[in-house]
Amino acid sequence: MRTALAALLALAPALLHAQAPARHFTLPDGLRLSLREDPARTLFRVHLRVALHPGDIPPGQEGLLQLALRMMDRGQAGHLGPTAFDRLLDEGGIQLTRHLSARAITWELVCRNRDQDRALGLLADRILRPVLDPEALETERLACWQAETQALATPHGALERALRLGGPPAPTELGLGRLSFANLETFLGRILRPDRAVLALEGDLGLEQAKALVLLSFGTWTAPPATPQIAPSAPPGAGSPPANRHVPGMVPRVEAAAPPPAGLAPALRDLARLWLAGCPPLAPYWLPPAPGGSLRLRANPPAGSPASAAQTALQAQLAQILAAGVTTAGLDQAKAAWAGTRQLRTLHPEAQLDADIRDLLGDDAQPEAVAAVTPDQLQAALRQWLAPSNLRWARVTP
Amino acid sequence: MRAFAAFLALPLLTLLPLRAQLPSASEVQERRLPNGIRLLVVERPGLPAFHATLAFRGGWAEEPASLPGATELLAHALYGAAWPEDVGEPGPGAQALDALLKQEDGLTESLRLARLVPDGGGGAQATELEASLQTLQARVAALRDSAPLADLYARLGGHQSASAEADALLVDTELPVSGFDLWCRTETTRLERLEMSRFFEARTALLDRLRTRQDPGPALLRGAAFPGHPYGRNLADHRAGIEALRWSDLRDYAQRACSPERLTLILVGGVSLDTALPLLSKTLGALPTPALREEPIFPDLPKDLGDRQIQATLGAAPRLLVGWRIPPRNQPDHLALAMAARLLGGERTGRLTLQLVDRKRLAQRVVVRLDQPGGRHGGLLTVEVQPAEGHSLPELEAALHSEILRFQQEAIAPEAWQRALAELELDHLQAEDAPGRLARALGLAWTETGDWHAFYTEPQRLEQLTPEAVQAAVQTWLTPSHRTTALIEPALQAQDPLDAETVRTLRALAARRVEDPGQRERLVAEGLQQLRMLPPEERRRTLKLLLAQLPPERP
Repeated sequence: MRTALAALLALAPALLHAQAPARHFTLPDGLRLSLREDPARTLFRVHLRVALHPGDIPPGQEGLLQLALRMMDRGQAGHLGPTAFDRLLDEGGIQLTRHLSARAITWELVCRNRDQDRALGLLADRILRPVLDPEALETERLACWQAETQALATPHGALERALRLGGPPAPTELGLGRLSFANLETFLGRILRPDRAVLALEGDLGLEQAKALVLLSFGTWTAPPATPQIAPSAPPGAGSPPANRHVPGMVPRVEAAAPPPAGLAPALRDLARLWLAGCPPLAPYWLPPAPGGSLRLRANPPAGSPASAAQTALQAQLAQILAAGVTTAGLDQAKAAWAGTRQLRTLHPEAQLDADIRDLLGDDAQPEAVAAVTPDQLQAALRQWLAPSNLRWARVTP
Repeated sequence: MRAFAAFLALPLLTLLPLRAQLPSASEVQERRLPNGIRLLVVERPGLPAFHATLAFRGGWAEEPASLPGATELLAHALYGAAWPEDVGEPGPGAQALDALLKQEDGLTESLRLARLVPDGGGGAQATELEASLQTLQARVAALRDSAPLADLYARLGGHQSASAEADALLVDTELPVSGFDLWCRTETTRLERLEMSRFFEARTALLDRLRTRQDPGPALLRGAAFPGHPYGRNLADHRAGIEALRWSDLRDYAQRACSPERLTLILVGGVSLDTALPLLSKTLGALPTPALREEPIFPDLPKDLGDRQIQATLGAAPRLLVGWRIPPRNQPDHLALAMAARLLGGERTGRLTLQLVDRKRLAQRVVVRLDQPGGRHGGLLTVEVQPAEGHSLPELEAALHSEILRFQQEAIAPEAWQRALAELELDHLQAEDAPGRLARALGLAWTETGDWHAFYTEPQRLEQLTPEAVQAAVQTWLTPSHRTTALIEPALQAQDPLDAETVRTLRALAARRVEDPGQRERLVAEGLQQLRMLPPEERRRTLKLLLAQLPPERP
């Protein structure tokens, strides 16, 4: 008896910190949820991801997404005006941020556990009941364009735009100028739907409690009939000429970006990235991957040579790497690194929630799938990823 | 049986709320390793990974004047990765690399000196030396594998990063628990060998970063606010010194700056103290302790130095930067000023945003920061304001000063107080919650105040704080006598290339003779004004003469 009690007591802290797997469920309106129950947490975290589809932004309306979100931030959320909404967030110690990528908009919320109801209610007000203010349109249009020109003025922003490193299509002056108030309202109505959204929760709350909480705040979210999708404009890539950027003070160089090929299995995507990181011939060109997962490479032309020479040399190097093929040892090294990376997620609550969302969407590599990858499969994935048609180039001159 | 289960469940149930009642310093276990290294362990049983922070007290503010950039270089050449050739056990390969690095050190220095010889004198010698250096660098590169996955930590899925702060060198590593043994041995070998085989690349990269740095405004403000004090040093003014800093110099410095008595080691995650302590005692705890070095003496700079103002033409967008010299983090008024910074700042509903951005529409954005660049010796509370279209910097400056005066005199609204408290509490809970943030927060608390408990006692002290105490601190510290103002105007470069070149040259010349950035900017502005009176051809000739006074810059 004593031994059993001692064992249980010894186990208790471990149980408090051990990571229970996330549980998934779907509401009747199509909203998918992931819950990571953790009684040790003093904070409540929520990530709400809304998927973006390729045809969401019609050709010629570049900037639609950015301007619509700005208008949402400056508009009413339910019955709350923008200042009242911000005040409620701040007074409650609730942090709400928003991130944009080419494939999704993510709202991230964090607050004290005791403020779960209020925080989720405010998030629902923001997403479900946005009321845009037509009088703010011109101010926000100008601010949106100013933000874009300021970003373009920085070396990082200029390169990001040139290589389209995972962000949504950048606003253009013409595109922004064309947008009407009706365009923005229609766009938000089209994308803010429960069947496009995934909600991941983490904190000291159980499954039934989470369901009740979400129903209370997001239960009225209904999916209107889907509107016909607009055909996406073909992204420049295959054979498109390199973008040229003048960045004062920067050493002349060529940069390449390769987004993960569409449809590539998550296990192959993760292992391909790690295999390339372990490839010595690629080391002089390697840059940390972009947030969207695009591979990034850089080459500096030798003194007196044109930038095109560096591009040719890098292309030749990539061809050699593909020709050399994948060895079992290289693949095993990538698999070992992958296993470690997965364990490190537990140190980062935000990364863990992102992983939960990917898992729910079937976009997270699973250990069994990673273990089953063969050198031939990886080789095929690399050929797809590093194909010339998948590479975007930018030349930087000072 | 049921009763037995209930009995067993009881301790569990009682533990749950206890764990939820963070923050608590009791979860931090403190020990000393045999050589004096302080060890803090926060166990998170069940986590399959751990975060380790090495916090070396010191930082760039304590660098000797003869070694500018040494801390930054330690962060990138000594730390940042675990390359096998740097952290592997010493052997014949390591000896060969060591010999090559010594040669590279000597050749690089000879090349630097040859380049300093005026045209015609050292050109041929420099070309010859460059060729030798390239051959040598190819030999060094052949001994290394630079693929990201060659990093011993990356192979396990982990990573390391390091940052040079004003008061500390902080090194963060994250690894699966299975890599703990490797981490202990690797970090010990790193400090035993101090190989730094990528020193030359790190130095070049640092010089490049300084050359292309986008926003010199904050450094300019600090320079003017702390004349003659290490907190005011702008590394961009010491590029020649960085170029002259040698591999051997940095190794000597590392022995002192990274010695055990300056180190606190913080572990957060799935590693227990019982597991960690024996291993750490045998590895990092067995590192020799060098003779105590003399602690640097900091100039006793009065905080009420007087109202200082500088104007500079930098960057693309106009900005107003105002900083007030405040007391160190371990002084009683510091917490009140931290609260004041929250009340004034706050991205959406801070007092300055509400007044200057939302109500008066004078500014586009306001950012308030505390402890710039550090909190150990008393840094700055800064306000950075970007004007709205059609409003001048002096107009904004007047509005800001008037807001600060009102803040000193008007009672603080209860809802604003509540908001600031809630924000600070959330910040603290977030730091508690993520292992990496907790480790860094404990490390910074120790390096800035001398006691890691400060991280936990500050929220408790916050509960005792009153609006009156905050106002009293603001009346004492946010005054003109503690203030420095920088008016950053758009760069002239965009308008006239000759002006731009003249400004750059005058600034470089002034940096060699005048330490105070405020005085330096005044000299540049006056010089430019006078040169503009000359006809263009004469201006070009004068510029050439001025340029000839500068040492040639390496490409």
